[in-house]
Amino acid sequence: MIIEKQTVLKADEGMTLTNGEAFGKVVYLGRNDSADNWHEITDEEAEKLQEQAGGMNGE
Amino acid sequence: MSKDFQNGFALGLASGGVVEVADTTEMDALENLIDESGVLDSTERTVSEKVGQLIDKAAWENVWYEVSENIQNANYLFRNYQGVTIPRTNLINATSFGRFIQNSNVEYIDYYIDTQKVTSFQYGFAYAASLKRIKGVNTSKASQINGIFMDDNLLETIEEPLDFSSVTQNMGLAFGGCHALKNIKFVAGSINLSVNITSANLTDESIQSIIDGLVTVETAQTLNLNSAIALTEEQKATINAKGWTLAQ
Repeated sequence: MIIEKQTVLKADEGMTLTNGEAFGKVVYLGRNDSADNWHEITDEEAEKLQEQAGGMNGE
Repeated sequence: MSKDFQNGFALGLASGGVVEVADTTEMDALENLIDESGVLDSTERTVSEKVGQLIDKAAWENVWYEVSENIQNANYLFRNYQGVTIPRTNLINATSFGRFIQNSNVEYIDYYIDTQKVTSFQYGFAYAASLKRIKGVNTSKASQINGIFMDDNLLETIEEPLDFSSVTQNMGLAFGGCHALKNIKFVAGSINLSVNITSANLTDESIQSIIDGLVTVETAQTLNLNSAIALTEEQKATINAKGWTLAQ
């Protein structure tokens, strides 16, 4: 197996990486993806966004 | 039979036999089904008495299974249902399936739901706060499954493999809020779009099934797992080789 060099993004302390749908502290970029698609937000913002995504509970 | 009648029938029997019927033709149809089923003997009874006597679980479920084959719209079918499980329901002809057990007390479904004609499962099993396990559901024709298990906070197990091979629309929220999820399986090579399965409780078998479920992609797609999930280097390499971004 050949393991090619892979771009890994790591969020700063207190921050979370997101592309608008996925969230993580570490992102291993796939060959079709770009670091430009990801940006940092605070952990609090990330938690809020993820809760809101579930948000319609019931209706 | 109309959705309202189906709901009323199901809720009525679950709560002890009181069935409200607005349309006499539907009650006639129900009476015919009861008579044809042969479950009750020939003693003359009113329809309400017959329904009441179907409180016997086995008898009721036989009639319901036969009735349910006619269901095309299964949206909200067991919404607010009070039982811990739903009666065996034949959804082989259903074409719609949304909010199926929303706000119900359903804790488990021990039979496979064969929804072979359903193409949209958006919020299919969503908002079922008591749901802990299901046997499985046929999603093989589904183009839309976003939110299918949204906010099922106690859901631990989906026994049979899920097939997402026909999905064409965003499914990032399919497992949103499924923090208790432990056991899940996918048909190999059936996940083709970004998906977030961020429970920290996934078993090793489930994690491997997710990875095996990924197809090789040619556009940017992301597998979002919980940071607590410890992947092996081989697993990470497999995800990468299939072209996926991994976010943890």
